[in-house]
Amino acid sequence: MMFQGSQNLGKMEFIKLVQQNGGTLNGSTRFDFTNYFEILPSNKLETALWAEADRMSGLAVTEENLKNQQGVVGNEVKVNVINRPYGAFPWLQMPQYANTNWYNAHNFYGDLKTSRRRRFPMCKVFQDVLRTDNAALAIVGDFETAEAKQWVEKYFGKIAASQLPPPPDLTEPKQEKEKRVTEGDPLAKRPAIAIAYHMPERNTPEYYAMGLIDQILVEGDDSALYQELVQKTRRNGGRRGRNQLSGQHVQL
Amino acid sequence: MLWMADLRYDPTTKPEAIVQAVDGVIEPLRTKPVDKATLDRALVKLRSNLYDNIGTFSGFGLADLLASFALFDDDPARVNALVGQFEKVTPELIRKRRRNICGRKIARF
Repeated sequence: MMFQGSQNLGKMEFIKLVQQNGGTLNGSTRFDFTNYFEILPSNKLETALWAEADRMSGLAVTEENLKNQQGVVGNEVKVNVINRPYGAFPWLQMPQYANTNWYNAHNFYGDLKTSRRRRFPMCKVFQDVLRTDNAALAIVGDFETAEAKQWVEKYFGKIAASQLPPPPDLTEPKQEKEKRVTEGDPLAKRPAIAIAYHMPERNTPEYYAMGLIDQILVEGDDSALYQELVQKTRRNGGRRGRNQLSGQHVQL
Repeated sequence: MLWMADLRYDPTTKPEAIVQAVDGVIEPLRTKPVDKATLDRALVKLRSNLYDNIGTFSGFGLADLLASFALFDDDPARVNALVGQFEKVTPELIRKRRRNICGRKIARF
Protein backbone atom coordinates (compact mmCIF):
# COMPACT_ATOMS: atom_id res chain seq x y z
CA MET A 1 0.00 0.00 0.00
CA MET A 2 2.90 2.36 0.70
CA PHE A 3 3.81 2.31 -3.00
CA GLN A 4 0.30 2.74 -4.37
CA GLY A 5 0.05 6.50 -4.14
CA SER A 6 -0.48 9.28 -1.63
CA GLN A 7 -1.87 12.79 -1.28
CA ASN A 8 0.43 14.41 -3.86
CA LEU A 9 1.89 11.40 -5.63
CA GLY A 10 -0.21 9.19 -7.87
CA LYS A 11 0.04 5.46 -8.27
CA MET A 12 3.67 4.39 -8.85
CA GLU A 13 4.87 8.01 -8.76
CA PHE A 14 6.82 7.53 -5.53
CA ILE A 15 8.80 4.75 -7.19
CA LYS A 16 9.37 6.83 -10.33
CA LEU A 17 10.46 9.83 -8.26
CA VAL A 18 13.20 7.81 -6.57
CA GLN A 19 14.32 5.85 -9.59
CA GLN A 20 14.37 8.81 -11.98
CA ASN A 21 16.62 10.61 -9.52
CA GLY A 22 19.10 7.75 -9.66
CA GLY A 23 17.92 6.03 -6.52
CA THR A 24 16.56 2.73 -5.35
CA LEU A 25 13.94 1.86 -2.75
CA ASN A 26 12.27 -1.00 -0.95
CA GLY A 27 10.77 -2.06 2.33
CA SER A 28 10.54 -5.19 4.44
CA THR A 29 8.32 -6.49 7.21
CA ARG A 30 9.96 -8.16 10.21
CA PHE A 31 8.29 -9.81 13.16
CA ASP A 32 7.93 -6.57 15.10
CA PHE A 33 8.38 -3.70 12.67
CA THR A 34 8.30 -2.71 9.03
CA ASN A 35 10.91 -0.52 7.38
CA TYR A 36 10.74 1.58 4.24
CA PHE A 37 13.84 3.06 2.73
CA GLU A 38 15.24 4.83 -0.29
CA ILE A 39 18.83 5.47 -1.30
CA LEU A 40 19.31 8.67 -3.30
CA PRO A 41 22.05 11.13 -4.25
CA SER A 42 22.48 13.45 -1.25
CA ASN A 43 21.24 16.52 -3.14
CA LYS A 44 17.83 14.82 -3.26
CA LEU A 45 17.48 14.45 0.51
CA GLU A 46 14.78 17.12 0.79
CA THR A 47 12.82 15.47 -2.02
CA ALA A 48 12.96 12.13 -0.22
CA LEU A 49 11.82 13.63 3.08
CA TRP A 50 8.92 15.42 1.39
CA ALA A 51 7.81 12.22 -0.36
CA GLU A 52 8.08 10.08 2.79
CA ALA A 53 6.08 12.61 4.77
CA ASP A 54 3.51 12.72 2.00
CA ARG A 55 2.84 9.01 2.11
CA MET A 56 2.89 8.94 5.90
CA SER A 57 0.30 11.68 6.15
CA GLY A 58 -1.90 10.96 3.15
CA LEU A 59 -1.67 7.41 1.95
CA ALA A 60 -4.20 6.46 -0.75
CA VAL A 61 -6.14 3.79 1.14
CA THR A 62 -8.71 2.96 -1.53
CA GLU A 63 -10.75 -0.13 -2.23
CA GLU A 64 -8.89 -0.64 -5.51
CA ASN A 65 -5.43 -0.37 -3.94
CA LEU A 66 -6.38 -2.63 -1.06
CA LYS A 67 -7.68 -5.31 -3.42
CA ASN A 68 -4.56 -5.01 -5.54
CA GLN A 69 -2.27 -5.48 -2.56
CA GLN A 70 -4.28 -8.37 -1.12
CA GLY A 71 -3.53 -10.12 -4.40
CA VAL A 72 0.16 -9.19 -4.21
CA VAL A 73 0.56 -10.57 -0.69
CA GLY A 74 -1.44 -13.69 -1.60
CA ASN A 75 0.85 -14.38 -4.53
CA GLU A 76 3.91 -13.72 -2.41
CA VAL A 77 2.79 -16.37 0.07
CA LYS A 78 2.09 -18.88 -2.71
CA VAL A 79 5.42 -18.30 -4.46
CA ASN A 80 7.68 -18.02 -1.43
CA VAL A 81 5.99 -20.29 1.11
CA ILE A 82 3.24 -22.64 -0.04
CA ASN A 83 4.66 -23.76 -3.38
CA ARG A 84 8.32 -23.88 -2.37
CA PRO A 85 10.07 -26.77 -0.60
CA TYR A 86 10.83 -25.81 3.01
CA GLY A 87 9.13 -22.47 2.24
CA ALA A 88 7.91 -21.99 5.80
CA PHE A 89 10.72 -23.93 7.44
CA PRO A 90 11.72 -22.98 10.02
CA TRP A 91 11.35 -19.21 10.04
CA LEU A 92 7.55 -19.08 9.69
CA GLN A 93 6.57 -22.25 11.52
CA MET A 94 8.98 -22.47 14.43
CA PRO A 95 7.62 -19.36 16.22
CA GLN A 96 4.13 -20.85 15.94
CA TYR A 97 5.27 -24.02 17.72
CA ALA A 98 7.76 -22.57 20.17
CA ASN A 99 5.70 -19.65 21.47
CA THR A 100 2.43 -19.71 23.35
CA ASN A 101 1.56 -16.02 23.50
CA TRP A 102 -0.62 -15.33 20.44
CA TYR A 103 1.33 -12.17 19.59
CA ASN A 104 4.46 -14.30 19.14
CA ALA A 105 2.83 -17.49 17.90
CA HIS A 106 0.38 -16.45 15.19
CA ASN A 107 1.03 -16.93 11.49
CA PHE A 108 3.23 -14.05 10.41
CA TYR A 109 1.44 -13.75 7.05
CA GLY A 110 -2.05 -14.17 8.43
CA ASP A 111 -4.68 -16.38 6.91
CA LEU A 112 -5.09 -15.79 3.18
CA LYS A 113 -8.86 -16.31 3.23
CA THR A 114 -9.28 -13.79 6.05
CA SER A 115 -6.92 -11.21 4.57
CA ARG A 116 -8.85 -11.23 1.29
CA ARG A 117 -12.06 -10.40 3.14
CA ARG A 118 -10.63 -7.35 4.90
CA ARG A 119 -12.27 -4.06 4.09
CA PHE A 120 -12.07 -0.58 5.39
CA PRO A 121 -11.18 -1.10 9.02
CA MET A 122 -7.74 -1.24 7.31
CA CYS A 123 -8.02 2.51 6.88
CA LYS A 124 -8.08 2.95 10.66
CA VAL A 125 -5.08 0.64 11.01
CA PHE A 126 -3.11 2.89 8.67
CA GLN A 127 -4.19 5.97 10.58
CA ASP A 128 -3.21 4.39 13.89
CA VAL A 129 0.11 2.94 12.84
CA LEU A 130 1.62 5.28 10.24
CA ARG A 131 2.25 8.16 12.59
CA THR A 132 5.32 10.08 13.59
CA ASP A 133 4.88 9.00 17.21
CA ASN A 134 4.97 5.36 16.17
CA ALA A 135 7.97 5.58 13.84
CA ALA A 136 11.65 6.39 13.76
CA LEU A 137 13.43 8.20 10.93
CA ALA A 138 17.12 7.61 10.26
CA ILE A 139 19.19 9.45 7.65
CA VAL A 140 22.68 8.23 6.79
CA GLY A 141 25.09 9.82 4.34
CA ASP A 142 26.70 13.05 3.21
CA PHE A 143 24.46 15.93 4.32
CA GLU A 144 24.37 18.92 6.64
CA THR A 145 22.76 17.88 9.92
CA ALA A 146 21.18 21.25 10.74
CA GLU A 147 19.67 21.54 7.28
CA ALA A 148 18.35 17.98 7.39
CA LYS A 149 16.72 18.61 10.79
CA GLN A 150 14.98 21.69 9.39
CA TRP A 151 13.56 19.64 6.55
CA VAL A 152 12.44 16.88 8.88
CA GLU A 153 10.64 19.43 11.04
CA LYS A 154 9.16 21.14 7.98
CA TYR A 155 7.66 18.00 6.44
CA PHE A 156 7.07 15.64 9.37
CA GLY A 157 6.39 18.20 12.10
CA LYS A 158 2.97 19.03 10.74
CA ILE A 159 1.74 15.44 10.79
CA ALA A 160 -0.61 15.08 13.72
CA ALA A 161 0.14 12.51 16.40
CA SER A 162 -2.54 9.97 17.15
CA GLN A 163 -3.80 8.09 20.15
CA LEU A 164 -1.74 4.93 19.95
CA PRO A 165 -3.32 1.71 21.16
CA PRO A 166 -1.67 0.30 24.29
CA PRO A 167 1.34 -1.93 23.48
CA PRO A 168 0.59 -5.66 23.59
CA ASP A 169 2.03 -7.93 26.27
CA LEU A 170 4.71 -9.95 24.45
CA THR A 171 5.95 -11.94 27.41
CA GLU A 172 6.23 -15.70 27.04
CA PRO A 173 5.66 -18.11 29.93
CA LYS A 174 8.81 -20.06 30.75
CA GLN A 175 8.98 -23.31 28.81
CA GLU A 176 9.78 -26.08 31.27
CA LYS A 177 10.34 -29.05 29.01
CA GLU A 178 11.35 -29.92 25.49
CA LYS A 179 8.72 -29.95 22.76
CA ARG A 180 8.94 -31.83 19.49
CA VAL A 181 6.81 -31.44 16.39
CA THR A 182 6.89 -33.34 13.12
CA GLU A 183 5.27 -32.07 9.93
CA GLY A 184 5.16 -33.21 6.33
CA ASP A 185 6.19 -31.20 3.31
CA PRO A 186 5.22 -32.90 0.03
CA LEU A 187 7.60 -30.70 -1.95
CA ALA A 188 10.66 -31.45 0.18
CA LYS A 189 12.74 -34.40 -1.01
CA ARG A 190 15.07 -34.59 1.98
CA PRO A 191 14.21 -34.44 5.65
CA ALA A 192 15.12 -31.38 7.62
CA ILE A 193 15.37 -30.62 11.27
CA ALA A 194 15.32 -27.34 13.14
CA ILE A 195 16.20 -26.67 16.74
CA ALA A 196 15.28 -23.51 18.60
CA TYR A 197 15.86 -22.02 22.02
CA HIS A 198 14.22 -19.04 23.61
CA MET A 199 16.59 -16.08 23.68
CA PRO A 200 17.49 -14.27 26.91
CA GLU A 201 15.95 -10.88 27.58
CA ARG A 202 17.25 -8.16 25.28
CA ASN A 203 20.31 -6.16 26.32
CA THR A 204 21.24 -8.42 29.24
CA PRO A 205 24.75 -9.94 29.56
CA GLU A 206 23.21 -13.34 28.74
CA TYR A 207 21.70 -11.89 25.58
CA TYR A 208 25.13 -10.88 24.31
CA ALA A 209 26.57 -14.22 25.41
CA MET A 210 23.99 -15.90 23.19
CA GLY A 211 25.31 -13.87 20.26
CA LEU A 212 28.74 -15.42 20.77
CA ILE A 213 27.29 -18.88 21.37
CA ASP A 214 25.64 -18.53 17.96
CA GLN A 215 29.03 -17.79 16.43
CA ILE A 216 30.62 -20.77 18.19
CA LEU A 217 27.86 -23.21 17.22
CA VAL A 218 26.66 -22.38 13.72
CA GLU A 219 28.35 -19.42 12.05
CA GLY A 220 31.05 -20.24 9.53
CA ASP A 221 32.85 -23.39 8.47
CA ASP A 222 34.83 -23.49 11.72
CA SER A 223 31.65 -23.62 13.84
CA ALA A 224 31.12 -26.59 16.10
CA LEU A 225 27.91 -27.86 14.50
CA TYR A 226 29.27 -27.48 10.97
CA GLN A 227 32.34 -29.44 11.94
CA GLU A 228 30.27 -32.14 13.63
CA LEU A 229 27.36 -32.49 11.21
CA VAL A 230 28.96 -31.68 7.86
CA GLN A 231 32.69 -32.24 8.04
CA LYS A 232 32.90 -35.07 10.54
CA THR A 233 29.80 -37.17 10.03
CA ARG A 234 28.61 -35.92 6.62
CA ARG A 235 25.06 -36.39 7.75
CA ASN A 236 23.70 -33.41 5.92
CA GLY A 237 24.31 -31.41 2.78
CA GLY A 238 23.73 -28.00 4.22
CA ARG A 239 23.48 -26.28 7.57
CA ARG A 240 22.22 -22.87 8.34
CA GLY A 241 22.06 -21.07 11.63
CA ARG A 242 19.99 -18.05 12.38
CA ASN A 243 20.10 -15.84 15.38
CA GLN A 244 17.43 -13.25 15.81
CA LEU A 245 18.92 -10.72 18.09
CA SER A 246 16.73 -7.85 19.23
CA GLY A 247 13.74 -9.00 17.29
CA GLN A 248 15.55 -9.54 14.03
CA HIS A 249 17.04 -6.08 14.02
CA VAL A 250 20.48 -7.62 14.08
CA GLN A 251 20.93 -10.89 12.32
CA LEU A 252 24.29 -12.15 13.39
CA MET B 1 12.56 -14.20 20.48
CA LEU B 2 14.14 -17.42 19.29
CA TRP B 3 17.54 -18.71 18.35
CA MET B 4 17.20 -21.21 15.54
CA ALA B 5 19.41 -23.58 13.63
CA ASP B 6 18.26 -25.94 10.93
CA LEU B 7 19.69 -28.50 8.60
CA ARG B 8 18.68 -30.89 5.87
CA TYR B 9 20.09 -34.37 6.00
CA ASP B 10 20.19 -37.70 4.24
CA PRO B 11 16.97 -39.75 4.58
CA THR B 12 19.00 -42.73 5.74
CA THR B 13 19.96 -40.91 8.93
CA LYS B 14 17.59 -41.12 11.86
CA PRO B 15 16.59 -37.72 13.26
CA GLU B 16 17.45 -38.88 16.77
CA ALA B 17 21.06 -39.27 15.64
CA ILE B 18 21.07 -35.62 14.57
CA VAL B 19 19.67 -34.53 17.93
CA GLN B 20 22.28 -36.60 19.76
CA ALA B 21 25.05 -35.07 17.65
CA VAL B 22 23.78 -31.57 18.44
CA ASP B 23 23.62 -32.41 22.14
CA GLY B 24 27.16 -33.75 21.94
CA VAL B 25 28.36 -30.39 20.67
CA ILE B 26 26.35 -28.28 23.12
CA GLU B 27 27.07 -30.33 26.25
CA PRO B 28 30.75 -29.32 26.58
CA LEU B 29 29.70 -25.65 26.52
CA ARG B 30 27.34 -26.45 29.38
CA THR B 31 29.83 -28.22 31.60
CA LYS B 32 33.16 -26.43 31.18
CA PRO B 33 34.22 -22.88 30.31
CA VAL B 34 34.92 -22.28 26.66
CA ASP B 35 38.61 -21.69 25.96
CA LYS B 36 39.87 -18.19 25.23
CA ALA B 37 40.89 -18.96 21.64
CA THR B 38 37.34 -20.11 20.79
CA LEU B 39 35.82 -17.05 22.44
CA ASP B 40 38.24 -14.71 20.66
CA ARG B 41 37.47 -16.31 17.30
CA ALA B 42 33.74 -15.99 17.94
CA LEU B 43 34.22 -12.30 18.69
CA VAL B 44 36.17 -11.76 15.47
CA LYS B 45 33.42 -13.46 13.45
CA LEU B 46 30.74 -11.47 15.23
CA ARG B 47 32.49 -8.14 14.61
CA SER B 48 32.99 -9.04 10.96
CA ASN B 49 29.32 -9.95 10.62
CA LEU B 50 28.19 -6.77 12.37
CA TYR B 51 30.37 -4.46 10.27
CA ASP B 52 29.24 -6.24 7.11
CA ASN B 53 25.67 -5.63 8.21
CA ILE B 54 26.31 -1.95 9.01
CA GLY B 55 27.95 -1.33 5.64
CA THR B 56 25.46 -3.18 3.52
CA PHE B 57 23.54 -1.56 0.67
CA SER B 58 24.99 1.96 0.61
CA GLY B 59 24.29 2.76 4.25
CA PHE B 60 20.94 1.05 4.59
CA GLY B 61 22.32 -1.42 7.16
CA LEU B 62 23.37 1.42 9.46
CA ALA B 63 20.10 3.32 8.93
CA ASP B 64 18.12 0.18 9.75
CA LEU B 65 19.99 -0.32 13.02
CA LEU B 66 19.73 3.35 14.00
CA ALA B 67 15.99 3.39 13.33
CA SER B 68 15.44 0.12 15.21
CA PHE B 69 17.31 1.24 18.31
CA ALA B 70 15.55 4.61 18.18
CA LEU B 71 12.17 2.92 17.87
CA PHE B 72 12.56 0.26 20.55
CA ASP B 73 15.10 1.78 22.95
CA ASP B 74 14.89 5.51 22.20
CA ASP B 75 18.66 5.24 21.92
CA PRO B 76 20.08 5.07 18.39
CA ALA B 77 23.59 5.49 19.85
CA ARG B 78 23.35 1.90 21.04
CA VAL B 79 24.84 1.02 17.68
CA ASN B 80 28.18 2.34 18.99
CA ALA B 81 28.05 0.19 22.13
CA LEU B 82 27.26 -3.19 20.55
CA VAL B 83 30.82 -4.42 20.10
CA GLY B 84 31.73 -3.40 23.66
CA GLN B 85 28.83 -5.43 25.05
CA PHE B 86 29.97 -8.54 23.20
CA GLU B 87 33.56 -7.97 24.35
CA LYS B 88 32.39 -8.13 27.98
CA VAL B 89 31.20 -11.74 27.56
CA THR B 90 33.31 -14.16 29.60
CA PRO B 91 33.73 -17.95 29.38
CA GLU B 92 31.82 -18.26 32.66
CA LEU B 93 28.91 -16.27 31.25
CA ILE B 94 28.78 -18.62 28.26
CA ARG B 95 28.67 -21.62 30.59
CA LYS B 96 25.99 -19.98 32.75
CA ARG B 97 23.88 -19.28 29.68
CA ARG B 98 24.21 -22.84 28.46
CA ARG B 99 23.42 -24.26 31.90
CA ASN B 100 20.25 -22.23 32.06
CA ILE B 101 19.07 -23.18 28.62
CA CYS B 102 15.77 -24.89 28.68
CA GLY B 103 12.69 -25.00 26.57
CA ARG B 104 14.22 -26.43 23.49
CA LYS B 105 11.83 -26.79 20.62
CA ILE B 106 12.45 -29.17 17.80
CA ALA B 107 10.51 -29.20 14.57
CA ARG B 108 11.15 -31.88 12.01
CA PHE B 109 9.97 -32.15 8.42
